[in-house]
Amino acid sequence: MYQTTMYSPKKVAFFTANILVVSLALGSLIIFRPYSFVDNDKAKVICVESGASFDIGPNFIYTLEDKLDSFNDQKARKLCQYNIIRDYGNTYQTPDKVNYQFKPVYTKDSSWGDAILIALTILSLGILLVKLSKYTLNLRNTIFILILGIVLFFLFIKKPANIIFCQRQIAQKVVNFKNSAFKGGVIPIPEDDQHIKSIIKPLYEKCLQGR
Amino acid sequence: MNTFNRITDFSIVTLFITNVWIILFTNILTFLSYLYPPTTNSQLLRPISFPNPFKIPLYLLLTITFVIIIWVFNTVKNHSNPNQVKPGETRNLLLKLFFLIILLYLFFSKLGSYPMAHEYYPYALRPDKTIYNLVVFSYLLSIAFIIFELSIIYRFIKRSLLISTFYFLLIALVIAFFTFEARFPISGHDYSFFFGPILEIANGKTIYTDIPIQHGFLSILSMAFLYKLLSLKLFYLPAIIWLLYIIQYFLTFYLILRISKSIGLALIGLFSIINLNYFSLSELPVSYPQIGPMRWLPSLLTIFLLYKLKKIDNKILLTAVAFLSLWFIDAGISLVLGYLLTIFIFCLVGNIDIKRAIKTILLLCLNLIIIITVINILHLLFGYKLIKLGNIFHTLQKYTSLGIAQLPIPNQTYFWLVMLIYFASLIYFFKTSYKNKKTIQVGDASGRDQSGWQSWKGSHQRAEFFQPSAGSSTGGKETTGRIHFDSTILLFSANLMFFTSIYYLGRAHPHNLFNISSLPILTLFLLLGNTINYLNPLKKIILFIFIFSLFIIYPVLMRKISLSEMIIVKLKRLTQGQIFKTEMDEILTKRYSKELSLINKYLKESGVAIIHNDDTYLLYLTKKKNLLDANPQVGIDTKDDLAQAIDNFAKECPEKVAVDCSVFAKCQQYVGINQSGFYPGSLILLAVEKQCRIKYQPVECTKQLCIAQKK
Repeated sequence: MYQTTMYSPKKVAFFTANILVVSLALGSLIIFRPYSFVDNDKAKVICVESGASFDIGPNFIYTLEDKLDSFNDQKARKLCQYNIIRDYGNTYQTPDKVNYQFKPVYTKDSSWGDAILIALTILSLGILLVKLSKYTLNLRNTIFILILGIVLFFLFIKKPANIIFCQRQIAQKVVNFKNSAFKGGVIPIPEDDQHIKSIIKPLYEKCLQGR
Repeated sequence: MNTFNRITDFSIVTLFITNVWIILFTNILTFLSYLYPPTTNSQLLRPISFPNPFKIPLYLLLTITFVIIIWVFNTVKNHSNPNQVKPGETRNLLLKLFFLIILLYLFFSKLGSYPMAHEYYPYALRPDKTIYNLVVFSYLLSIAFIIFELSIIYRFIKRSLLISTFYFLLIALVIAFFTFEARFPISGHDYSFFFGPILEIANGKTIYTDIPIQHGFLSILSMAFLYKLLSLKLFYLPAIIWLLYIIQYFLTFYLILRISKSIGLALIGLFSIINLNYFSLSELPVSYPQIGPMRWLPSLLTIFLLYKLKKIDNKILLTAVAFLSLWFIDAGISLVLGYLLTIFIFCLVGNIDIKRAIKTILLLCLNLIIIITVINILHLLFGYKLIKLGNIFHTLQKYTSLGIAQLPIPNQTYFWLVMLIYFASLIYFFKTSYKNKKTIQVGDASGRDQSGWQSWKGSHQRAEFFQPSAGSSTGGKETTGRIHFDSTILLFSANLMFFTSIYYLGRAHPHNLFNISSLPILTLFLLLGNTINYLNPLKKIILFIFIFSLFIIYPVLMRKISLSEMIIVKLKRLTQGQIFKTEMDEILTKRYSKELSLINKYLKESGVAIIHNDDTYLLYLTKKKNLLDANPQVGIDTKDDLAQAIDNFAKECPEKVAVDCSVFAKCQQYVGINQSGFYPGSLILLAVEKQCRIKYQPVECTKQLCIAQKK
């Protein structure tokens, strides 16, 4: 290892890259943090009268939150009353009263362990950078990089990381429903696509606000 | 302690990489699936597709990227930190163990539940469940007894060629016993994709040019050759599949034995594969030709050939890869890609230079061209047309781009074990190849044959990966060459496993995990075989008990009901007599004798059109030529398929045709021998009527078939 001038462009680039690595590693903790959601493939509606139990996703009923919204509530009522699904044309009248019980089954996406692993992976890229470069890091420089990395994270990385986290969450929920519904093959569901589109924005806002 | 430290390090690195790969793969795939949701395709005749254009490219790209990253890290580590244990390293052991436990926990949490655990489809649950315990207990006891006995025999036999041959014959007999299905049952649907094309080719149609093929190329051609020229009875195809199963499982055993030099490990490996690849399925695997050796044997054969020929660019091996890649199309592509990836990794670690790699690839291409040319010349000599090579990928394209019968991969799946085995094998290979280079450079200053392993002559010495290496007492060219040769076999097996596993990735049904299991299990046992020799006998026995529990007892308990029922069915079949006589002829004659008489009464011409769910079997019975260019018709999935199927028919527009009676509403829709849930009979009839500008009306019907005449 040889000494270079204090502010050589290469050295600045080396430090900047390491600061970025630290802030990105922290950002990955936000992006990959765990959350729970209703698994549309396993959640059920149980009909009060007949006692029949239906998986919601395969019957084109879904929730991206904790309970069925009015659009899907109607579908569940019709399913229990008439044993039908996908009555998008409203051929059947929706029963007045709730005739089913919703049994959500929660599943967890990601874990803190996963988030830490990704952060460690990004940090190990930094270590590789150090090994490949001609510079060494002493304790003072390491602390300097860590502090600046944290500052950079709070100033520029945290917000976009949170946006990606919320997008990841919504993507997972929508894909979870579609994978469940299309087991027998993809069919056009324009009404559902439109409905999902309409509920995504408020859901996204809610996620960003941390609710 | 050093050995334990190295195992811990190896496990940590492997688990770390695998976990990160899974996290990235599942998240990126989810995001892409969300941004570009699956759409329906107007080409399809029914909604059976679930296309995901990102799944396979992402799997390939991400893994290749990881391979390169592992190589970069390994190279950097080896240059900056010689492969020695630092004095203070053992102090961190507790921390390492803690990290290892966390990584193991994270990995196991991604596996989800055991595939098809406690499911019993298609069998009915018995009221008295003790029979399951009884069957499973007897099954496990038999396997344990056979492993024990065969191990004892192996220890006491003299190592002569003759006695070894007898011993291997005994192993083959054991495999034959476990995989034999009396009276050769078939699944009508699966076999129709073999019988149909075989019949068509035997009747003069050219493969791919006149008739679409679902799976094979050379497999179908060779069967058609056996059927037409050697008068092989069509329904003895399951017997051939049985023989191929014996070869496949035997090769697995042989490779593990040769690499590990441990009969115990080889026998446990053999029964693990039989247990997972054969007995864990729901129905008798011989009945389903596409899931067994038809698909996987070419890969096994090339690994075996590499073992025998020693050089990755051996010309015989190259010819074999080219030839076997044409056996079964999708498995063939995996074989070629697996081979090319091995060459690429060899280039990375410097075992062969770029010039030699390019020469090898060019030779492979040349071999492919020569084989295809020879096949075409033979076709012309026998009076067939030239093969339309563009059509070879038609079915594959249907499955990949249209997404027919594809299923999304769940976030939690046992498939991640395949990736764990893959990365473990890769890391092991990179480490040993670096070690090998280092030792050879020290031991062979002349720089002759840097790849080293070519010079192996069967030394019984073993250098151990997990033992300190530099200047070790076991060093020396032969041993190092040997260890590198063994890890080359491991690398090749791992690469083939990586590509063949795409089969599950496409249709991620849990039962496909068992279908693809033979190569992952082989690779895992080769890895164990590479590293097992540092253990003392007691530790080996403990390891064997652990592996036996993990790969035999645990899967058996998870599939207890289904496995018991399968064994009961097998035993019942054995007691029914005439075990080597195929049952299919009797079944067909019994089911379709009236229909056969009706067809013979009305359709006198040599060429007929039978629009029926069981077209393959009716054509077999009538021994007539098919006017439709599709066999079986259940393989017609798209408008293009339909247009191609009726093209020649429309030129003749025959006076009479045989049609499934349900198409004319003369009978209820029923499941034929084909047992297909969908049959496009009405669509075919409509299409031919439209093309010929006529209408067919039924004149006489049985309960399964009508003869229809032009009106």
